[in-house]
Amino acid sequence: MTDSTHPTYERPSTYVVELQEGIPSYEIDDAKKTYKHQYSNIYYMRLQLLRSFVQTRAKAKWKDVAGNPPYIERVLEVNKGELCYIIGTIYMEMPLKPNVMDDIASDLAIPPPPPLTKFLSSEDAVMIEDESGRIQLIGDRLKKANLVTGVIIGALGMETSDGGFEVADLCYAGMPPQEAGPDVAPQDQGEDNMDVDDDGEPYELVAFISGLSLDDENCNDVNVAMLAEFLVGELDVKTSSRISRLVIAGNSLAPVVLLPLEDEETDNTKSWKNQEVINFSTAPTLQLGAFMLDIAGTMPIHLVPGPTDPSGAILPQQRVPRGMFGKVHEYSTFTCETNPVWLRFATGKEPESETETEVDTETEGDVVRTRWRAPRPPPPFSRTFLVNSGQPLDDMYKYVASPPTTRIQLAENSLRWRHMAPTAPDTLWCHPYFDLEPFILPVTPDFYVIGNQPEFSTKLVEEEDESEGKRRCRIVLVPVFSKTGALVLVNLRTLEATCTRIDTKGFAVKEKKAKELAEQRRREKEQEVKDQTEPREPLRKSTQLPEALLDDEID
Amino acid sequence: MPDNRVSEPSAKRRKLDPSGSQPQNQPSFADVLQKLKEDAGEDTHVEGGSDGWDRPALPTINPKRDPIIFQQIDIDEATDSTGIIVRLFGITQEGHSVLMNITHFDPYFYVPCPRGFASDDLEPFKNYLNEVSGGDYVVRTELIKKQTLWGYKGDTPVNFIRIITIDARNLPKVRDKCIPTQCSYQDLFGGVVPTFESNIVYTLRFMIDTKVVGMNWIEVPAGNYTLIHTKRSKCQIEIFIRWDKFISHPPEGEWSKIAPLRILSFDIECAGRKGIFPEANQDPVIQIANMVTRQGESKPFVRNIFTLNTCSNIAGSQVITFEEESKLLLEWSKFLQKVDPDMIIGYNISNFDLPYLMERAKHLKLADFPYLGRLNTKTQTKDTHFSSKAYGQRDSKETPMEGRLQLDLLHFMQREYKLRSYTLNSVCAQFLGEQKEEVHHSIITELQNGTPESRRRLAVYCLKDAYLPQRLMDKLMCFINYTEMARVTGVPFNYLLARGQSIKVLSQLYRKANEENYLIPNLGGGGSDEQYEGATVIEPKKGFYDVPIATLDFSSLYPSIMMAHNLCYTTLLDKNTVDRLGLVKDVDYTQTPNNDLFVKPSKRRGLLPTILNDLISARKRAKTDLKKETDPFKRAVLDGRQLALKISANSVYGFTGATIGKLPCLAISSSVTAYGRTMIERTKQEVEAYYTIENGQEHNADVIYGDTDSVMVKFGPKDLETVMRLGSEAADFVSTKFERPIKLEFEKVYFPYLLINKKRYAGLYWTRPEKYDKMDSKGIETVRRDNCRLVSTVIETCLHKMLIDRNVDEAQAYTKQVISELLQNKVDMSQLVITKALAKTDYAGKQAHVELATRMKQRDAGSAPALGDRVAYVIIKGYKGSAAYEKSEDPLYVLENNIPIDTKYYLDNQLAKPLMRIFEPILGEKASSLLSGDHTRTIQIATPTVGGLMKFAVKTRTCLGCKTALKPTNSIPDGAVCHNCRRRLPELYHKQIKSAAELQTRFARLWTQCQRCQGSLHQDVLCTSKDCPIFYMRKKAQKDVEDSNATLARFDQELEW
Repeated sequence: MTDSTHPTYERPSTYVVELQEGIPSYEIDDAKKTYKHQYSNIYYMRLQLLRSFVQTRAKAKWKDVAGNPPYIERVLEVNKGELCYIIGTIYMEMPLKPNVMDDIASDLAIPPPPPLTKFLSSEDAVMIEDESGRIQLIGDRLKKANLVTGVIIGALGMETSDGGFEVADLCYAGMPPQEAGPDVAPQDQGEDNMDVDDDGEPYELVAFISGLSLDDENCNDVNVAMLAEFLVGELDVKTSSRISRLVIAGNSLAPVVLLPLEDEETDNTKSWKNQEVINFSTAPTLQLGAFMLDIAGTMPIHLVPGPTDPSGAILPQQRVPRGMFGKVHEYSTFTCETNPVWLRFATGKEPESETETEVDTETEGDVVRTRWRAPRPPPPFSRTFLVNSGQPLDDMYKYVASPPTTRIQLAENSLRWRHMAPTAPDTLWCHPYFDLEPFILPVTPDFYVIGNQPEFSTKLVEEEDESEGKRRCRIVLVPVFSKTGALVLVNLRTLEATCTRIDTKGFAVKEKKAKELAEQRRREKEQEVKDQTEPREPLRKSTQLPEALLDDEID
Repeated sequence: MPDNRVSEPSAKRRKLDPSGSQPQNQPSFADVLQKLKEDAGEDTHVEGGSDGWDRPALPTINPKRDPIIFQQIDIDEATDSTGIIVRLFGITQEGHSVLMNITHFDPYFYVPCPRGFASDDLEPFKNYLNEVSGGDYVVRTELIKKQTLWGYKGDTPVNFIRIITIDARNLPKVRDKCIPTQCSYQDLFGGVVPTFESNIVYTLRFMIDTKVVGMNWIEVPAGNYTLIHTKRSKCQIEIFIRWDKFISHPPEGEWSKIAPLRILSFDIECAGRKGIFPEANQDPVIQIANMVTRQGESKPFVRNIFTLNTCSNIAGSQVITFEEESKLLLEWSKFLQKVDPDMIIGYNISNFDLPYLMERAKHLKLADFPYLGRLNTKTQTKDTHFSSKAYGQRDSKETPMEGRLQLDLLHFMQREYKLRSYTLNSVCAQFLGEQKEEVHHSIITELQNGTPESRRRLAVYCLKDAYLPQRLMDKLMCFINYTEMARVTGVPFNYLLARGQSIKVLSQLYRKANEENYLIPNLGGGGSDEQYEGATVIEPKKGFYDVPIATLDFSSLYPSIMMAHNLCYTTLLDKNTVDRLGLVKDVDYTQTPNNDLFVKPSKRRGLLPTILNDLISARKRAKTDLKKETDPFKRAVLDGRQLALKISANSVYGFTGATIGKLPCLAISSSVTAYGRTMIERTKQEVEAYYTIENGQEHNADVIYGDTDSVMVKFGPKDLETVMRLGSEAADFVSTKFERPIKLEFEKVYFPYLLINKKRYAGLYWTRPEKYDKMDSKGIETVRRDNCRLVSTVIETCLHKMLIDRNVDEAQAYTKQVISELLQNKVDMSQLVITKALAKTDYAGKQAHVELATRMKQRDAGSAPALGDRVAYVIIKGYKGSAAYEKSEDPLYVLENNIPIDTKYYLDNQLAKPLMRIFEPILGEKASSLLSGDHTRTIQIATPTVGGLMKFAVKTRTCLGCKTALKPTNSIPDGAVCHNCRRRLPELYHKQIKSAAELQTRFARLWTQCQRCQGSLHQDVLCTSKDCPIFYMRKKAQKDVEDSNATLARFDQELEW
């Protein structure tokens, strides 16, 4: 390992610290695993929880509007022609949303058309809804708002004669509070200029990759091997030696491709043999295990599942069992996470866990033995991360026109809406929670990292107001590795994020040079077009009636 | 997803995005406020068009100066002090309602004038008639020269006596008492005296004589009418006029427009009791939703709901709440009078909503309620019986409202479309492409007894049910098509749903006959049950044809036969007349293949051929105009007209053959079919004789099938273009062999073509060689209601694979797979559900759905289906030898308790026959292997959780890898695998999580879809629509995903992977 051969580059340590209070775990325990509940509960909880935040901000925002518009508590109780504001859940009525009825109605053995990349059409309608009912929102103000289903908003306006609510202005819940932490302002130069040749100032990086997309073909992909070498410091030791840990943000495996069963082993006869037949290759899983094993000795790894990984299909995706990946499970540095996941890393070495001692004290003759917890030295520095594998953003992206809207804008909106996955459960599948709405953001994270995005993008978002004080968050979109060969490094101290490309010659290069980039994008686009025109699952044989319907979202 | 990577700006340090929450662009905000104020304007508190109930105010009318022009919609008759009057109701272009009282139109009929009866006899004959009939019924008698419609007797008109009576109700007294048997006047009338034109309804008589046709425009010139000021009706304009003083405009050109009729679509909800269908003497009406639309506009201008008890606001609709039901009903009745609809529509309103309201009002003793018509008379519900050869028998109720049209969309659907189910839900799914939430009536009461929000929910549901009939009507063009039908055939609009086909032909026949001086005999009804030979069918050469099959059609075969051979009542000859007039066969008359005699057009042009000619040329005109027309509304009218003309032309033949009809003439109808038969045979001969190798063609043509008016020809070549050329050639060639206007047309090619049997076939339908138009199938019963959905899915998919993909092997493979899945219990339950309406309780035989309803009632009376509900069931495994009716079970119960389905039943009784039908022509004997091959070996039966032995059974877990039973010795407690399979855990887990993921997605997609359909995110889905394919699927998804989770949980126990 590099540490021993190049003692000058000592890899900095970070450790996982406990999350702030109020941050939910996305692990669903057995008691909550039930599917008895309907999805209305999530919407109910969401509205209950976010309404007061929206109301506080709406009050402040519209207090100076002429006529002092009142807050009408139920959307249906607005009076025609009277300026007022209402708060409710947005529902986007879009005919192009995939409709399960279409799949049922169509011939079962005929594959459905590929899913649409956009739901947007001229027939869309924006509705706002609360427990009492819904009303249509109209007006030009909506066009700029990029609303998606499930967002809780306040709308200022009035009901028109045909029963719509003409919107004059909108108000969101705003970014959630943030614990006042050590705020090292990012240096003023652009992130691209973040200097890797550090000037002696210590800093810690966390590496993010997503979309390794290992499949039978690219199992021995040179890029993946290069990536591993880069991370352990065999390529660019200066940069990589600052990397304290790796987070894999989803889609480590490519979508499973079913292999044709041998003819004599069709469904009808296999049951005699009694062996459960596995009709897909297990090689990618093993390869992923090997990849992580290469790294686990050098730095901790967090594996977040994505849509193509062996986890459920609905959010939150549960941890993949560690045992899936062979020997790497023996490393304590290897952790499987849920998707989405909140993580908090502190800099420095983790304090000894044996901090509790028992102390005898004598008071009035009685010896009282108390457990004494040595005050843990406060971590010099910690940062909170919210990481997901990209599904919420991908889904929101289908609702809006792009251009002009960019993914990073949507991610930012999501922070300002105080919700990370508003389109769940409408078009983004999620668990039917009963008394919990875990996708509401309880705090503003320092980093909001979204995996499996077409390209790298980042933005520092800030907000300051009376009710919540100052908040800021670095949004990072992590590109798909298998298509871009890139990983993202974030600096815990400066909140900076850079994209680093591993090129096939084995050098890590910073993403630059517009020309090269353009060329690269052109090639990728071609590839995508190709991907789409090729049969999606050429080897699939099963046309089992009900299941075959719903494949779109699983793949 | 290529879209996703469209250039995202890489600038990472931009100013806050404008879509952020900071208030910006203040100026536009002010603009919006301004706009809102303007918008709000005067109708600040108008919700749901509550200010638009009244009709537009009427300007003062000066009878001396102002003509009155209106579209008449309804007609009836009445007697007042001045005698009998006809009342025409209508609407002006400005939307004012009109009642025109027409006087001095006396009913009359004819008898032939006997020899020796002279004009001096008229007065004594009148007196004689009055004496015999016992009243002063006959006003006048007169002599008139006419001819009878029946039979050719030479060309000289003869005298008839026209007997004019005072009152339409008394006409039958004169007709039946005095004339037929006992007419002893001067002993001039010997034996039975036939009467002419004596059984036509008075109002129709009026319309015929004044050339008024259904839904046409009437012009009353200034100075010809008197305005009534003390009105007897609720119409805005009420006038008196003599019957011959107004102008009836034929519905052509400008006069084909339609007045802005007010159409009310409504729906009621009643609070029923658990398990009992609502009864008017017990269960209150709790909501009535109303939508009023002006004909020609796309959105209702009045939207409101009358609710019992409070109800939260509904944006865009007026909510009118009442504390008392009687107040609600009375106010609704007032609303109806105020909004004064010209037409009332709804779904099943004739048999449910209207009678229920009437009975309920009676029960509550609301004397002011039942005044729903335009006259100040009490509205009443009557039982009617409808019987027609074409539409079958139907008992129904009728609540006539004078001056208002009624169109029950349920009746319309039943009459015009053959469907698997006629529930509003499935009709909407089919024609509007959307599912409708269905709230079971037991939940309705719960919602009503809940909060203002729950009642609002019900109200939204009710409003939707009121709106859907209007949308259906617009989508299916019912109103426009029926209007054109009324105009073409000349009958009132209300006849179209209430009466059969024959009245329409009769109306046209009278009009034409009277023009040509013919009188129509009254044959006295009754009629025989005489049968005659129908159309011919060339025995099909069954099989699967992988070459193009050309179809040659006789266009409008029966009408053109009648026209070509001059077949008519007026041209019918008997032997005596032939001899008497010395007519020569084939010069003066023809003998039909049925050996009936008809004179040639040179002697006399038949009336029916003239009518048909008019209809067909009118249709041609309409079609030409349609091509030129660009205005969508006028296009709709023209399209409706050409359709009405086509239907009318085709129903003339049926009219002559309707043996219990008004004027059956089997000589005509039998001759028509006889000609048809010979023509089909002849076509076959000609084609097969001409297209032969000997004649220089490449193949011998082969007529593989022929039916009624078409023959299917296999010309031989494999390419479409050649076959299309041959087809069109052959059609022209054969046409020359027949009398004009009979024409054989080449329309389409089937390729490939699956000919199963007589009237059963399927094929791809091509009219141009580039691309097929559609997949066409006839008689392959995929829509039968007592079939489960699986049957139609399988058959449709097979046909698709055979015909479109041209891959019979794949169709077989697919069939085998479905059968195998069925037997292994993998087919979705919703595919297996059979539904039947519980129409009555005392069925003669034991029936599956009735038995089940009884059993469900024992289990839980509340949720059990009540009379009138649709019972959904699946067939489950019963004990050996149990009858099918004992094996029906509630699908939900089956899902919850894992009850095994009788998959064999589904294979043998549902799938087998239809599958054999489509596969036999292709595979022959081998077809049966589809039902019994290897793929049927594996049978899986669900392990039930209820009943019999299950109480004693112990469930053992098996290894997920090798299915070995897990014991403490070979596995970890509650684990997933045996020790031997432990190394396979990763792959087994992967497989398991993959299937769990699919089930999760399924669960999510189904439940979110229902949420969308119900139009609310914050409320639980209540819908129990058994017609909706999602209903059982979502239940099953819930159970499946939980089962799958339980299996996954076993992996958690496996600590050492």
